[in-house]
Amino acid sequence: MRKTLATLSVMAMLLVVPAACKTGPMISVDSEEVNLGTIKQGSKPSAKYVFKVKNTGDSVLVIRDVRPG
Amino acid sequence: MVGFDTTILPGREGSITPEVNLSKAHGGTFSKCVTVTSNAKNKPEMHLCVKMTLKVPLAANPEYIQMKRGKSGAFEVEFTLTTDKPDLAIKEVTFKSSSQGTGAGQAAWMSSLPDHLMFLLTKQDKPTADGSWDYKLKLTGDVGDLKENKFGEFVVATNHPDVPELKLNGLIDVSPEPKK
Repeated sequence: MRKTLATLSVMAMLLVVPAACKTGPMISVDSEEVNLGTIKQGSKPSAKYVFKVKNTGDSVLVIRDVRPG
Repeated sequence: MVGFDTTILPGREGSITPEVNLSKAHGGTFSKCVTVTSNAKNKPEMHLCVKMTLKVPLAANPEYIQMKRGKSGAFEVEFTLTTDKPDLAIKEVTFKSSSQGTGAGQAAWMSSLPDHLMFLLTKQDKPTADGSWDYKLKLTGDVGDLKENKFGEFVVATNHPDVPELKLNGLIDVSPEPKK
């Protein structure tokens, strides 16, 4: 009986401890606004910018949607 | 249009690439933003913005030209041209009607011919803040005894290598001046 209890409490600790330090997915970007400067119209059909997005959390970051606005 | 990575593992980096279509954009400074929706605990919704200043080689303001009867009886209009060219010159300005109606006593074939307009280009003394030049363009034309508004296209022929012809929609407005 005592052995079973001990085993159970160890198992419970194993479950609780990792859950406590879990942060979940965290999103981070160097800058949320960039200035591309002056562009001459007709020099290119479109302007692109690559935002580097880092997952600083400890589980998978899922980007569900990116929409204008 | 925007490209993005759908899943990013812990400690890893992904990219979100917004693309701004410039062919439909107007000149000036503007921002385009996207809203990123994710399962992130810190920011389930994040806004990413791209700011830029688009310099148009030659642009008219307003873009819609309305010629009205002036004091002299002729039709006239004045508007601003903004350009990167410090020595802009106008070669010719014509108005091509798209209306079916004809002027009084005018044969149908005549109304389909473009009207040549007189023009006067005046350069502003100083360049604008972004290094462009502003010009005032005054158009005057005697387009006959019009009975109804004439819609069409103003074509401004210039010495600008990128914009040899600036096409502007507009109308010749025959409505009488409001009486005082």
